[in-house]
Amino acid sequence: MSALVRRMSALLIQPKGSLLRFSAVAEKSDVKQSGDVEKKSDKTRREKQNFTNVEGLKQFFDEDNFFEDRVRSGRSWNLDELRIKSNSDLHKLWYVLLKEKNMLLTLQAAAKEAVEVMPNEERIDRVEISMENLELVVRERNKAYFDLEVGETGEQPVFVHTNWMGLQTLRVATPHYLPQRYNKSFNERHPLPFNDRNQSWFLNHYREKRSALKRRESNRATRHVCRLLRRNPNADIDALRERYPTVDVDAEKARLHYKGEI
Amino acid sequence: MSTRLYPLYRRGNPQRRVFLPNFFMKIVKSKVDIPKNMVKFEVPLQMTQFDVKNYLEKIYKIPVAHVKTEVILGEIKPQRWKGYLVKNDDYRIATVTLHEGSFFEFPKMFKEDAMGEALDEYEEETEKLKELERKYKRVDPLRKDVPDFFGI
Repeated sequence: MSALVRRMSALLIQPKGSLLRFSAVAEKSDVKQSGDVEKKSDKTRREKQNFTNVEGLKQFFDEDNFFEDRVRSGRSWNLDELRIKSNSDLHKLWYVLLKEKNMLLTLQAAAKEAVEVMPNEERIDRVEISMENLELVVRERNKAYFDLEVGETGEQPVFVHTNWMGLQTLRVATPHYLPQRYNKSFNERHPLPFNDRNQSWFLNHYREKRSALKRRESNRATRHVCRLLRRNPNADIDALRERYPTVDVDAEKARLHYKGEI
Repeated sequence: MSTRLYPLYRRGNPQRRVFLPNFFMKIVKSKVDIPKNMVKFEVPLQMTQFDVKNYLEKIYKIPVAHVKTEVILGEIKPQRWKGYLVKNDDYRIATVTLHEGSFFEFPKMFKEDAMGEALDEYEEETEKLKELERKYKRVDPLRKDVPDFFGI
């Protein structure tokens, strides 16, 4: 049974008339004729549906590829291709991509509802990648424009924030109506870090743990380098130095030589 | 990102404009019967009725008579063999009414009996293969009457 199922799944993936490809005896003309006949009969069987009289709603569906098992498509737009386009071209392309994405999402939802496999689901990813790239190009241009006109990038500034545990994190600054020093309720809720006993205890232990981890890692690297040198005394020293920057390779080699291990 | 940010205040307090909208809208099949001039869309949670109307009228050029949106609670169900609940994401459904005279019916996009068709196809192909085998089978003249099990 499982063999049959596997065979069936292979059939579903392959185009029609593909089984004949494996028969060495069949002539090429036979294959072509049979495939054409099948396709024609399929197309005549499925007539175009008149599902709406609103032109806009038809754009949510890919009428030409209804009942298809697989739909061939190209790749997504590259950054370099988008960079040479004008602003108005990019604006038009965005809406083309948006409509394509909506169409594909509609198809995906319909497939899920009908418990079917959506034909070539990777098309959604391709459209999304194109949209991301397009937005990146627009961002680049925006940055350049702001730099030229205002002297700033126009991006959100990032600053270092010390939280209540004493740990430092990066935060993105957002615009506010009121400066923070005038915002009484916010300052009450978020007091400045002070010399807290618990905080200092936590920070001491945290740093100890972090340094121990670091030390262990460097020791491990040193041991590894020693092992390599013992196994291969003529190892490339420069390569080792480059690979393990924390280890003093020359000193380790001298030590091993003094001990008589190499 | 500066292109997606909108400043809190801009001189003159102009109307907000979106140049690269990233909202999606997908048509979904209604589980109950609805009038012919009604379409159901699944939209992002942040989208409002005005957004839906503008989106359809400006991008798709669809004349819209009325829009109603509602937030649907994601399904909550127990995780199998585990002692906790899982919840699907919430989503917003926009029910759009078109003008009089226009109609929409969710089209058929998939084969009725895909498995059956594939099976029929498989049977046809195997029959063809068998025929071809019968047609082009080469017989060794030296072992014509020797049974199959004899020799390798």
